[in-house]
Amino acid sequence: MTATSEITDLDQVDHGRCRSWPFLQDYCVTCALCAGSCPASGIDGFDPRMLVRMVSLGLVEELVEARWPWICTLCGKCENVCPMEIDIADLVRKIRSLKDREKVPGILHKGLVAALETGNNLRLPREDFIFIVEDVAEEVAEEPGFEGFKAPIDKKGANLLTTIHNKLVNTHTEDLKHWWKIFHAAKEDWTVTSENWEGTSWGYFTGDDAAMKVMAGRIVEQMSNLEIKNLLWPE
Amino acid sequence: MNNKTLIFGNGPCAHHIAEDLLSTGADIVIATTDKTCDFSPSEHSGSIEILTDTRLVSCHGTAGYFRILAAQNNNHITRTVAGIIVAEEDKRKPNFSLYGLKASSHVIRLSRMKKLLLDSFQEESFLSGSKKVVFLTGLVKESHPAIAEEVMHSALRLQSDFNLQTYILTANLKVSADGLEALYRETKEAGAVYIKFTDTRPEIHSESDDSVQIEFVDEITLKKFRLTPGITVVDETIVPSDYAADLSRILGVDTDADGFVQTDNVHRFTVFTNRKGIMTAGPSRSIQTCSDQITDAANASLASTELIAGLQIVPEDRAEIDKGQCIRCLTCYRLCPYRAITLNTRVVVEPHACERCGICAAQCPRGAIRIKHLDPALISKQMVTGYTPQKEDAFTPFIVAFCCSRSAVQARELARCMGHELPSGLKVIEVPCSGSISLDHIFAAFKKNADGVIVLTCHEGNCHSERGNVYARQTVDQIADKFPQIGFEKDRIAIQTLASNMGTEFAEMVNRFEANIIELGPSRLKKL
Repeated sequence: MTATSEITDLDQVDHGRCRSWPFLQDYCVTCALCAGSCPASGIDGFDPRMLVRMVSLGLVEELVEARWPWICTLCGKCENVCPMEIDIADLVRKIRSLKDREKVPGILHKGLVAALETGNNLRLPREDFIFIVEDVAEEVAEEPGFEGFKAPIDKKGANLLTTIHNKLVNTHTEDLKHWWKIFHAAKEDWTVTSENWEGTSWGYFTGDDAAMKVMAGRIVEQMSNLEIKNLLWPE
Repeated sequence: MNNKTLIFGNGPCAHHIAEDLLSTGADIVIATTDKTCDFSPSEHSGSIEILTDTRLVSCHGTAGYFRILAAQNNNHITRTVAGIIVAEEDKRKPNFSLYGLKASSHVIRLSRMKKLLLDSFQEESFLSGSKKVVFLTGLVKESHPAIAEEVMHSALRLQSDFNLQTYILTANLKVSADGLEALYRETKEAGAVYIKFTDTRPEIHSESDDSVQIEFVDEITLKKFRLTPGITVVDETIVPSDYAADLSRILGVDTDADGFVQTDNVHRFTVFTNRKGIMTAGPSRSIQTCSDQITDAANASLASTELIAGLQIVPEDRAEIDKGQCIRCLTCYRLCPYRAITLNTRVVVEPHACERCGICAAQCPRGAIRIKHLDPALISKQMVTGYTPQKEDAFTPFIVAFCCSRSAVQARELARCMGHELPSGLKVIEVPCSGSISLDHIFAAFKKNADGVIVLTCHEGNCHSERGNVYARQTVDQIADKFPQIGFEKDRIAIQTLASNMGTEFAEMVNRFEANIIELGPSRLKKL
């Protein structure tokens, strides 16, 4: 990365803009342990240390405009190594949350809107979902040792409710069988729900706390309705 | 003999020491070149005398009985004290020229900023408004935690109390002292911005109207910035004060390379000097942060209390000058690293100050100085103890190793514990300090049929007598130079330095020396 010839007058910059944020970004000593441990460091210009520095200086607009803060996978390795205990991953989310939703890169927001409107990222109708689940369950029942296998849907009073990653009812239906065989062998009393079954909450990734709340709330509501005490949310 | 302690100094450290000592019931005298002294102690049982406008002229005597002559106004005054503590303040050199700046209404030195923040009248006008304050520190020469502490304290006050945006431009921020990392966080919380420079430096321009403009690249974001501060503060270099230099000269105290009143010798830790009864603490001892000075003050008062208590017992076995032999050449007086020799009608060794290093005895041209157990004749007898004459066909060299008690003797013990093999013909002669090794000692070894003599001393700079190992080296070099002229191999004598924890190295040194001697064969003196 080379420096530009443009000069910013510090009289125009307000360093106190983000001081009320709770991420401790002001403590940064620019040691670069975060950048050193980040698996996405340098990809498409992503640099966790630079992100923290720009927030400390108050240069927020540029960060919100840019695409590179969206490269972060939120893995949290940076937070793990930071000697000043700065919540770097949370800071990335905060920056992301400030972007106009139409400008969110890729399909992230579109998928999230689909989930808010239909209960899943694919806009997969309820009947189609049930068909796919029962179809895969029949294949499982044909395997030796799994005679009579059925996949419970909307089972009231079950012990465990599990969400589903949308790809498992789209391109990777075979992977559903791994989960179900484990449940069967463990004699687990489990179920999925026919609506709001989506486990991939893209609001976490796009910094949309309100959307996250809605999706989590729906799952909790179902647990309450179906009187299920335990939740498996493998996302 | 009285129990008074004299404190030179009028700063926070000196006051701390005074307060501490008074609270133990000690009697103290404070002497300062300042015209006034505002030290007011709390309840105390000891006595205190404060001498202002007072400058040391001379000091005679020894621990327990120092006779001070000082100039006060136009008079001379004398005092007698048991111990002395040098606790003067430091001198600050402002670094304007390092940053290409000159002092002006907009550009000030760190000490002036500190003063402004203390002075409640001036602060109103100078520190008002919405101007920015920039601190330049450690950008040309490395800074120091003591300076970083003052920069950060000032920045904290400017942000919190005056609401001024503060920038600290630095290369390495020195936080390796008590409380500085926490202080750094506090300044950040208060809004101070740090710009750290590793590969680049800021460009600092002074405009015609004395205002300052700074352009730099922030090395993290790689953005170019321009900064126009209302006030620019340059850091300072800390050096010993001129008076501290005078004091060390008059008191005969060794200084380090920068002129601080204590050498980097490990044996001087904590507040001691080469002279018993004279201690140094605070900024005159080294560059110190606030918490360093508090620790120093506590150590100084402790040392002083122990000194006074210890003066009750007169040490035995110190060096003694045979007055019948002494010709008053004053060699011992000049050489004694502890200034333990005084001149009255006779030249006398002061028992309290003598450390039995043996330098005086080794160097006296008349051999007029005796220290118990360090007689060359006695040592000569030691050399043959346990020596068994060798068979004709096997040559096991008889090697005499003069070992300093503080390093080599302990290293040898460690070598033994570690199970290292040592030459079977090795005879170790322990001496308190390598400075006590005279020509006589070494010749005695060769006369007693040593095939080789090795002298093992403390590392340079770590000799308790500061120079004992230097004198030992000079003695060995003298002999080694002369040996070839008389047809004797110069490699039969060697000198090396080591530390008390170097057991492996001790074994290596003596084994390698033995191998050299085996090559040379038996000493020709043996046939005589």
